Amino acid sequence: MTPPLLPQRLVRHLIDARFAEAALGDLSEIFDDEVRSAPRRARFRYWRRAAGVCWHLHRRRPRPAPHSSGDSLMLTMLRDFVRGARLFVTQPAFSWAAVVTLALAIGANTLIFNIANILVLKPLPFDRPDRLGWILGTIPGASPDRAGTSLPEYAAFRDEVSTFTQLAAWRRQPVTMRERDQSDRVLAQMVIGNLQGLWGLKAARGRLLSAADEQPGSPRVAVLAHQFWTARFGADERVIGRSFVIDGVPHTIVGVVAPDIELGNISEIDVWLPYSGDPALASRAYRGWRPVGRLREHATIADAHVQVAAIVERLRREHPDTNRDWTARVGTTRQALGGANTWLVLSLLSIVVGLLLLLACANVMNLLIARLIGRRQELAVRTALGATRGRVVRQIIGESLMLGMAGGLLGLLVAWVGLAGVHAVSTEPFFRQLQMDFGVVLFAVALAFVTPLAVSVIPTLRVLRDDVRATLSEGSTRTVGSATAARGRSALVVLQVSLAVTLLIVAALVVQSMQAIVVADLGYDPSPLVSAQIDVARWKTEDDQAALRLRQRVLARVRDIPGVEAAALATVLPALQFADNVPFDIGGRSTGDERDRPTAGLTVVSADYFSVIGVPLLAGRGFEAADASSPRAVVVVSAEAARRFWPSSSEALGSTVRIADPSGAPIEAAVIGVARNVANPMITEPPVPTLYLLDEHRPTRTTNVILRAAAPASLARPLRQAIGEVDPDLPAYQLRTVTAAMEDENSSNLLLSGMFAAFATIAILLAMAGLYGVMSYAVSQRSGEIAVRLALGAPTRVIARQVIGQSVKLSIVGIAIGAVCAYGLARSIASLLFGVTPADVVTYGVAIALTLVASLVATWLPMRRAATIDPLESLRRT
Amino acid sequence: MGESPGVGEFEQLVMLGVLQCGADAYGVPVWRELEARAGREASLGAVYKTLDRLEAKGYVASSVGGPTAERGGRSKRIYRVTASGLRVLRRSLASIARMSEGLRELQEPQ
Repeated sequence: MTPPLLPQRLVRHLIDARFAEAALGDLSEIFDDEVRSAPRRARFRYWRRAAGVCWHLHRRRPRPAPHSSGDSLMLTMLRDFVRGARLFVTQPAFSWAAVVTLALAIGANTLIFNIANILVLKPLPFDRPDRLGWILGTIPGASPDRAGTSLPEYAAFRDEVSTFTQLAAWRRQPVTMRERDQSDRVLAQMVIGNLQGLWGLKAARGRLLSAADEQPGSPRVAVLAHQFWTARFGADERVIGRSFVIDGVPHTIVGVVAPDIELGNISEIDVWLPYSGDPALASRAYRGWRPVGRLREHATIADAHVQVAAIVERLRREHPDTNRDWTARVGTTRQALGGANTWLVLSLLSIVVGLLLLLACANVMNLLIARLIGRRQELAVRTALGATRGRVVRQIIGESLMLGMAGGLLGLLVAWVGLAGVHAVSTEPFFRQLQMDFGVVLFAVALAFVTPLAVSVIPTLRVLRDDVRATLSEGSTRTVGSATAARGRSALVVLQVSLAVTLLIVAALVVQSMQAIVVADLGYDPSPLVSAQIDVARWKTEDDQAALRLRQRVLARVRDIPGVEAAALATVLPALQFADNVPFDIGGRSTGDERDRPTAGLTVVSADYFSVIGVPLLAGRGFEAADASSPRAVVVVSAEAARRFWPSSSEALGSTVRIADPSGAPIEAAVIGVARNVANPMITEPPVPTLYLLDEHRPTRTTNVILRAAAPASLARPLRQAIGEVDPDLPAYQLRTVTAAMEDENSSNLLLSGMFAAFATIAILLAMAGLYGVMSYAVSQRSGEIAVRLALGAPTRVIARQVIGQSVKLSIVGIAIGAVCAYGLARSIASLLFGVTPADVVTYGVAIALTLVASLVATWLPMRRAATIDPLESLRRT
Repeated sequence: MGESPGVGEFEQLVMLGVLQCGADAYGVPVWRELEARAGREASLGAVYKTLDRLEAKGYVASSVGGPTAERGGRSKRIYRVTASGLRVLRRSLASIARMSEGLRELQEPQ
């Protein structure tokens, strides 16, 4: 029986070399005696005795290096940092490669963290936001959860949902705010049910709105948003108590809301108004309200949802004409503030930048290992001269930390530049609130510390394993390397290739989808068009005919603007805004079950709408002047409506429809034409079936003035002026070219596709750099062997083929793994994809080919170097 | 010789152990003597540590003996008490003897 091995090692490593030999001899002597007397306990006693020896003698080792005796840890670390900093001078290529790699990955992660920070991590500005339930309406054909609620529906929820202690609602509306001669178009948040109290807002000055302000007959008051108070009035305290005419009615300013609420689209609000009892806002047809309730103690969102769903069902039976398609659910605060796709995109971005960081780590680790192997001699000498392993390991970690910190600093710069890019591209208020705050910087700093620690683990283990004597006696770094090391390098190649392929494919799919959305066929050409929204308010006139005459005066006036070719009115901008959904009956046909009744989007236009927009008629005719003057209503249907509701276009023509208009009496109209489809504002959805009615036959209040011109951008000012000339109380808003409006809609898509493209580019560059590093190291390791074979007459071709063949084999394994991962990821984000499938062959093919070419280049370069070296020279160096 | 540092009780015992072992005074026999004669269950490590301290004070000296097969081929470190060690030991034992002279309390019951 021999003594246990591990304690022997401990004794050898831990105690003074002068004692180790004698102590081990003594221990083994006692062990032999004890094996004879008590064999079972001998091993245990050996362990205990060896531990005692180590305990008593461990301090007796001589101090490693004379200069470091008595150094504090701080001092040693400082020296490691300085050594790390010196690397930038002595080994600039290595250091900059590592730092830039880390900076790109840390920068990308910081940028995405910034987005996640706002969406997920920042505390919401509401009082106990987890106890709020948001009633989210949905109507078919529009974005889910984005439809509002009507005031009668709100009242039903408020009175009947017992899981809410309080239910409030709000709506947004642009209003005209005038004091003497100065008039502003501002965005008002109109509230009912004491929303400000329910949200738990605080007043910065004066007071907030209360339930009493909503009582009929109470004095009209308004509260300013902090940003508006600051921007418009310079935070002047004297504004409070002043009176402003808001949409024709005098209101007294009673307070300013504290600014901490100003997040996301809440920061767009300028002024808060209590609901004043306007009947137009209380109709069942008007679904502009967004209810939110505070949950009763112990009640959950699900409890509230059950009650809300029951009421939705009952309202559907009681009011089939308005409530047939409308559904509602109760969502959490996060759901109410961010759509489902927001979370998907955010998760995807997080995964992508996480993979990028992994790729960067693999690269830097690879660099560290290669450099460490190059320095094995130096390290061995240092160890032989008495540097402890701990000291050497600390040095490696210190240098890595130095690289990490430099990478982190540069990464912050990368994130900052990226953020500037985001601000430049995006017009959405969400992206505008991204900023480099303390949390974001902290995140980057944490990455800068954790990443180098993570990447130095494997090199450090290597140093610990290295046998000093063997290294010194080898006297060279040019050995083929152990089998484990080769396996490690192969694994690294496979990892990098698979990460690169995954990122490349996913990013390519997303970019293609985003681009497809941007360039999708709208069904008309928006480039020669400019539009402005006008709203004939009810405070101005109750008479629908007067409102119509006012709109027609505007239309006549804007046609006279020099440069305008034609002008039209339309309640929605095609492919940009959703039309109200209305049910209708087709003449003669039985309506049957309420659920089978057709519905379509209702767009109210002026007579020459189709020619101004450039939407051709596929059958029948468009509107004519005679139609407008005739009391008999006529209707043009979209091709989608004709396809869905009639057997053929020709049968649609001449039939009559009876449109159940929620804002008035049913309208009976003859179908005179079929117009080509325009795209759904949600471009990924099929076109909405649409009915077009003339402005003269259906009262409207809000509409768009659309001008056609050779230079639409130059018409913005004249258009605003012309509308103002017709009536100063009729300000134009959302005044912009239709192309610009389109770009605004698409800015998030452009931004995201830009991000994904940037990340994919970084990924392929990092992977190439990593492959190049691994392959050039592997080739240099074999340069001796290659030289021998060249000297013996082997053709360069054969050697090159063999080396490249090995790299290609590894790349193919990596590509296979990466393609599978990419497919899995693409499947899980299928709802984000448009115009491309998760298994798009071309995308996969191009990505794979690109990766293969990159890996060939990365192998070929070092290979060529090795093959061109004179064999004799190479051998001499070996 | 007032300058020469004194020795503690365990140090006295270890030095006496080295003397008892004669020419073959290395770790194991010294440790065994302590157990057999003084009844001290000392740890091997403590013995080494004490020997090292005594060597630093100059009271014992060591030399590396030849390797032996039964110890796994490892050499011994053999100790002997130096002249100054003997002097200190003598003086300290003598002072104990003088101090305890005639004390009935210290006589072992027969």
